Amino acid sequence: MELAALVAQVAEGAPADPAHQGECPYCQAALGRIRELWSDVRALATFPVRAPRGLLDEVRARVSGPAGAVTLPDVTRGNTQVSEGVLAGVAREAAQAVPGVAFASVLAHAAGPGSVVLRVRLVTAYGPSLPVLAAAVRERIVTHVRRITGVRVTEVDVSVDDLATPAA
Amino acid sequence: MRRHQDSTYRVALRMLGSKVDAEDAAQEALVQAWRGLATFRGESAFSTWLYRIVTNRCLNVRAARGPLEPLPEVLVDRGSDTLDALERSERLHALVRGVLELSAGQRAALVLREFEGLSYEEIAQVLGVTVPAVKGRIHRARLALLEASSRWR
Repeated sequence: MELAALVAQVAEGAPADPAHQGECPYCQAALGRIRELWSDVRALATFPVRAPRGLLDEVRARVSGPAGAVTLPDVTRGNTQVSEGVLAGVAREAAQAVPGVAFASVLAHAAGPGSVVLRVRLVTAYGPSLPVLAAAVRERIVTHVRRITGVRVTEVDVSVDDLATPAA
Repeated sequence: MRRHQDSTYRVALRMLGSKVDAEDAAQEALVQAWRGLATFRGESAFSTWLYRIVTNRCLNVRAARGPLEPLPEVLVDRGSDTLDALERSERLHALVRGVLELSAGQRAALVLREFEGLSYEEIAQVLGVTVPAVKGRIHRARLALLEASSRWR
């Protein structure tokens, strides 16, 4: 059998010819080599490769506009920019208005024209379901930031850092 | 974006061989993709689009630089020092070199197929060629790897 067909057999699972291959030493030798190579290919393919730490942070840093601001797209007579500080502030106010949230602290990173990603840290009351609370915070932040600043929030990381203990 | 950074870096690593070059190429590709998000219309899957950006970038690097020499990558499981494991590690290193010796077009098709698991149609979209062309490249790449592997023994 042709080498090409044997390779296709191992790599793609193309139909084999067991009667012939059982007899033919050339085919058996070739199949042996091909199978070994293919197991190496699989091993290399499943070898975990992770992007280096900080890659995404560097990307974000480069994508941020000058002075860490988000530029609103499409303006006919000049640009409008909203600083990351303002975006973080709006998001913080929105988060703190959610029942169950005691404090919020927000970091904003510009992420391309008209969009921003946020990192939110919460101190919450004890009692409410935290995943439900986080989802509510996320929802509210996205809506309010959009409404007040016109900027689209593409990603909100929420972390619950602490529980507020009730006053003694 | 987070889950795409690994695959972007991985493609660059298999295409270029050097971690430093791969990191640069991946960073450039992600920046380009992020900036272009506003204009991405969704005519293909986002991942396909991102693959196209990083693959093109790697092909350009390759064109500018000529043949590549891979820097050593750790390819063996930590804590496994049997003879088999070391032999396997050597073969994997040789395989990495074999992949880097392929022509750029063949290497791109093979990497996307074997290491990223894309379909022929997706690869055709990423590379901007027809499906038969993709199959041809992958086929020739596999034969070239097989031929190279017989030289390593």
